[in-house]
Amino acid sequence: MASKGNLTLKSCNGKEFIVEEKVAVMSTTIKNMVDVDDSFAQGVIPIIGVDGKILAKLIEYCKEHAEADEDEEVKSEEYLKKFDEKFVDELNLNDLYDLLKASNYLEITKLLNLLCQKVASMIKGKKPEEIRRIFNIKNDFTPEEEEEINRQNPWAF
Amino acid sequence: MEDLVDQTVGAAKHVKLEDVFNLLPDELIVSHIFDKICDAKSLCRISLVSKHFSSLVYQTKTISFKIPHEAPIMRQLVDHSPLFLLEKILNFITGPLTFAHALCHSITPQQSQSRPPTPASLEIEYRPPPPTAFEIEFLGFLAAKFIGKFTSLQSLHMEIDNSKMESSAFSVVKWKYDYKTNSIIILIAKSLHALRTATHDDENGDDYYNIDDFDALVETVSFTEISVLHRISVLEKLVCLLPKSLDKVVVTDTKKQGEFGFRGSDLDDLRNQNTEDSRNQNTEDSATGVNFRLWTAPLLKLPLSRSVMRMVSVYLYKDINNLKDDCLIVKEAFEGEEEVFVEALMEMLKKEVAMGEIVRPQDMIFHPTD
Repeated sequence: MASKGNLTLKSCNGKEFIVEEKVAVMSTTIKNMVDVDDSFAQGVIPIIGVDGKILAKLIEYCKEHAEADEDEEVKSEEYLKKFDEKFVDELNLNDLYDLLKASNYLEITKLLNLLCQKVASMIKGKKPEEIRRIFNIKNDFTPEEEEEINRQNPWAF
Repeated sequence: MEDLVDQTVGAAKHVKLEDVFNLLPDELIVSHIFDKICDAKSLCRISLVSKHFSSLVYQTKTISFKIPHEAPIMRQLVDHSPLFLLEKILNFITGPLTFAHALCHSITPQQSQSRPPTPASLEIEYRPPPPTAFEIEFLGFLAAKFIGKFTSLQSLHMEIDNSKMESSAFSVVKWKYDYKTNSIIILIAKSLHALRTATHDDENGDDYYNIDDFDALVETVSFTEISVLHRISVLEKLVCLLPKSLDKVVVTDTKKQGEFGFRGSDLDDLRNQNTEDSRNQNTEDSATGVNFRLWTAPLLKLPLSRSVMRMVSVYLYKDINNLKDDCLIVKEAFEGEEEVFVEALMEMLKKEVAMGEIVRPQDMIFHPTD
């Protein structure tokens, strides 16, 4: 059981993480759980659908940002910017997907914005077939529909 | 950890067989991803990715659109008489201005046939690009139609790509068009550099315009006026094709020479101008004329910005019915822009001003103060 001021988070594959409350409540979902039901603060908070590897990444991100929010001198804006860049650059596509889903479910706004910005930068300027390949998206247009859209928008290609 | 780029190349091998975009809420995809992309070309390509993407992309609220710059064709007639410098300046100021003002309302092919006669004293011959080519090149009927599908669009940023446009000898150009006061302020200088020692700049403070300088200045001012009015006309034409939800339009250029924007009710006014009745009304209004002011300085020291400008001129054109104080319009023109331009306008206002008024192009009244 976590000591006072700490919370225990449990991933869907049974891994437990003891984290400071200020780190955990960067997730609006967790904050609401703790605020509404005090037993969560005393016991274990199950994080449904998020495995241990992804939960560890989430905690790593939230820890840096919670500490920066508390003391700007220790972790400056410049430091956080570099941390964010490194954080997203080191993600493989599977982790990016999983973190997107998890940060959306857990409502970690800053991280969600960061990841969406990364996805936007991966889409921008790419051709449709490249976007489909990168994100594993099925082309469900018929060849005729595709040709019609191409014909209507020659300026974009 | 394996690099993302390497992963994406062979995505089919490494990625789980699921489409993350099916797992994220549609609202999130639009507001957090598509709205961050902005670029019209990219958004159009996104609409081709899948039916899911196509159904979402048109909910985007922000679009930016790059428009290739088409340089107006100008030919200067050979006349280098230096005796009537100011009169010549006024001629070339008022010629393209009145001509291009009419251009604002003559974009459609049928109207291009009935342009008003140009003033007899006009020394710059200006031939605008053919209106049909203009539409195809700048707006593109298809591109405008595409943007028109964005029924939730709130903000549109158009950037004129003038990066490949050659600079004249007067390379410093900054302008502002204000729709509320219907005024244009243009600042042109031959050079802008950091302030060196006071002595050095004083020694070189007696620059005079030679014929080549004057020709270059004529061309730069004229070209800038036409470019500004061209852009306004582009927007006037485009605005009626755009979604009614639109609340903000900003037009800039790659070289950051000038910017103008429209918000809320201004956009409604612009839309209304495109109706036949109001267009006729505008034509009558435009006949009432333009007030203009000209400030010049061979050397302008800007101590706050620690800079120096050479051969500076500032031009203000405003609707003759606009009673707002000239100095106030000029002072406010570059607010929020680089400090050096704000300071330059303040310093220029201390110089002597030449002023004039055009009731009609043929009835120009000229009042030099010196």
